[in-house]
Amino acid sequence: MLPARLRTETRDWRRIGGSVAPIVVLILICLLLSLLTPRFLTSENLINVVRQSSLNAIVAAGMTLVILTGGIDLSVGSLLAVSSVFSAGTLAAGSSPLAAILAGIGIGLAFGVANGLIITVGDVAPFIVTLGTLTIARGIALVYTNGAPIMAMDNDFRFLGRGGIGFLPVPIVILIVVYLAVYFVLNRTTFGSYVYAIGGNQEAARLSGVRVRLIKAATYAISGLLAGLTGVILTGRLGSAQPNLGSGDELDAIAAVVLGGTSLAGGRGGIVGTLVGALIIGILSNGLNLLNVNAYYQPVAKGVVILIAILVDRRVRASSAA
Amino acid sequence: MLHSRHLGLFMAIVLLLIGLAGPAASAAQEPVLLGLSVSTQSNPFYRNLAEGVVAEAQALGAQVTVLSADDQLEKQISDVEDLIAAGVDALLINATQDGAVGVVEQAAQAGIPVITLQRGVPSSLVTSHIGTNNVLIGQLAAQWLIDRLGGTGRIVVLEGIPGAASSEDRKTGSTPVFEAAEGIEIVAQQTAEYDRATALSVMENILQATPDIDAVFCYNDEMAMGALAALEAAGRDDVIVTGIDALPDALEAIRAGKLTMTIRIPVYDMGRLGVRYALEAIQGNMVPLRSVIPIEFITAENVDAPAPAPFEGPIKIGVSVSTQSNPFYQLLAQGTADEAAAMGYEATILSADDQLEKQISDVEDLIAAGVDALLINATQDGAVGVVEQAAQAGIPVITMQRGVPSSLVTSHIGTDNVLIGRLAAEWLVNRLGGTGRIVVLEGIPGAASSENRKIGSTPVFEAAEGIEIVAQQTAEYDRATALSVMENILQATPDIDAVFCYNDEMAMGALAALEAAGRDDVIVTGIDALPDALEAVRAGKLAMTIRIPVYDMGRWATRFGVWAVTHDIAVPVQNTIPVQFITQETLAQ
Repeated sequence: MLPARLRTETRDWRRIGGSVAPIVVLILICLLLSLLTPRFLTSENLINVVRQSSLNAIVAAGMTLVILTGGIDLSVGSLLAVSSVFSAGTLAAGSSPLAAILAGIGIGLAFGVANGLIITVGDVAPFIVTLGTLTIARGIALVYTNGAPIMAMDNDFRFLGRGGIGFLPVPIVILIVVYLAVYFVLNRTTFGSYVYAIGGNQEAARLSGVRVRLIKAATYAISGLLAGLTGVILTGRLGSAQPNLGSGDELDAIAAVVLGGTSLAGGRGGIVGTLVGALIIGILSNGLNLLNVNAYYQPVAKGVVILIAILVDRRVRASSAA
Repeated sequence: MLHSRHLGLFMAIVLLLIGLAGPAASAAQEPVLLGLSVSTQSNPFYRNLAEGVVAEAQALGAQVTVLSADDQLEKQISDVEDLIAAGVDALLINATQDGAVGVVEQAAQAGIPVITLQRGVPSSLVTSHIGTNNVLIGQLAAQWLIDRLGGTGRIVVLEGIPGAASSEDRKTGSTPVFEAAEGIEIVAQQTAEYDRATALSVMENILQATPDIDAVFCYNDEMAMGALAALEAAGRDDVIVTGIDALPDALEAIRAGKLTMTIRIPVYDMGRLGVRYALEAIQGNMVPLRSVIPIEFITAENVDAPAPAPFEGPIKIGVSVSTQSNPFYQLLAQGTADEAAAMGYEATILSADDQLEKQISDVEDLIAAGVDALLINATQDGAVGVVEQAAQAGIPVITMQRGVPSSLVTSHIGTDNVLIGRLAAEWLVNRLGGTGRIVVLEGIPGAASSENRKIGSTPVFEAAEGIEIVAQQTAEYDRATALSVMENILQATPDIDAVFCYNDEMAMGALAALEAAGRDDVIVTGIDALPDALEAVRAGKLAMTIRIPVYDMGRWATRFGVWAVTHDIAVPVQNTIPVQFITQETLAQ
């Protein structure tokens, strides 16, 4: 049983779509790292770690919408690669940086729409469909590049990845815009409430007049678009595009969503938790690098922290539900 | 009239003949001159080596000067100096001792490719070394004996001169094999100093102590002959005796059914191979840095078997590469295809898309299509089954870069990542003038290439007093990961002089992080010579990358495959290809 005050806070957090446990875990990790290394709690490093986490966080924002409807999107890592190579390829072909950025985001959106249509109209399980597009997109990236990286050194193009607005790096600005937008959509629009409704009980939502297919397809389209955007940002950061970019990134995004307290069964959770989850994963990698931990122990440490965070989350939920 | 017409015809033929002979005579250039310095010609083994060199040089139209050092270092040094002065185009040397290194490097620095045969010298300037591998010989000989005994038996081991490299290496190879075999018990392990008389008395003593033995495993034939004499005197003809060297009287003993097995080292072909490497090196072509000569088991069944008849006719070569979506393996496949075409043979190339299942069915298809030789770049160790299937069907198998754990493979050619790690680390230490704070970015933890590059490089950094590794992290061979890891490291320890990356992808990621942080004072090195890494070297951003001549690897693999089919020459079983350092200076040339 938690103290009354914390319980109220917990309820507040859940109302806006998250759980307090991930935040507690995040604060604990930050405290621990501050004690272990003086290099952690500096403004440069904090900006650095948020910038690094922003890529996973943006992908995870789209993933949150998909998972809230009870679905899954395994294709995001490959979409990131396809968008990266298409934008760099467009740039290399002599188009303007803006056209290159739009090409990258557009191909992500196109794949997202295809995912959504096959899942809803074709009535195939999201796991299977997005597994299919995962391999197709990766293959297209390989075919398009013939396996070799494409340079993208144009300074205007790289603004999305390397630029800054004031003291804030552009990826962080994009992160803030994306999260404000998704937060608004989820909590202040009927679309958002339909997303929760579908995840809670798809049949009931359908019977009460929700256009289930359209809403679900839209979540995959948004997920694809955000993966495409991330691919463009990453290309700008690296100054080149590679067909093998982002392989396995879908798992990081899913981990961020689940760490943030969103249920894989759908209907429960929210976008704020996902941001916290992405930060936990990013800070963990950052901290292990700062502490110069042996490479063999790093995956163990990451896995253990993720499991602890989820166990704590479950306990807090169970006791606050009681 | 008739007469003059005949005369005219005669004149026409003469003119035609002169016309044919003329261009050939004028095209005959100065023939290539090779120099061979052999440690001694009084030992039949090394005489045989020199004969191989002379025969192959004649066959390929090169001249060769052979000098024997009579096992004296001083004589060898002046011999080599004489050869350099005579203007040889390449030097083949079978060193008397390590001390010959100085004069060998003198030749190398004069731009003469140096091929060392059997006895090498410790120098990184040697173009190629061809020799045996005594660890491997020990291992194979021990396994042969265990198989012959059906896995159970009590054995005696006679070692060579304690401390001699050949004896210690044969021990390193054989002892673990015996220890791993459950039914095998080593009842005595003694030295007999590679000597026949010593072996006689040692064996007599052992027979007194433990008469109940099944086999005697000798590190050379001299000792095997001594042991046989002791056994014969004791009336024991039930003991299996094995030797190594294929000496003439050991072969006699095999014919008489006394000695069970000896090992022949095809030293004549070693000499021939040396000439082939030398001629390629003179042309400026890549030759393997190290090649290990195969061995033959000689038993009563094959001691008098005629040499296999040379194979003539068209050869079909099957190539199975792990993936063609990676430019590195694409080049490998291109090398095999181009060389097959140059030799006038047909090659079928299949790509497994990094999937073991596809590779297995690819190889099955190639076997079914009746290929004469199989060149394979394995996706994983799991391809071993289908590789052995091919070998058992009589198809020689050459593995390229990624091998499989099988003793049925004819030859392997590839890089040595331990060596690459060592050379790259030495380069960086040198470049830093021996002092500096460095960051190491490792590859995927557990991946063989990454672990081996670590084994090669870490001791070099640790041994350099002025070098401090301020961070050693994995970036998973991945560009995006390296970017983040490097950013984090710059947060933790901004005071660094160099970043040592286990591949170019990570080097490019690290460069992106350094560039974003406005750091252009940090030396970054990579490995692989990817196209955009070369761009970065040209632009002065990346200090160095290492090129693995994978195209030439494919060409040599094809030659080995063809040689194995035609029985032209003994095909070296293990081949390490050299690496090239790529810097702004080398690119400018």
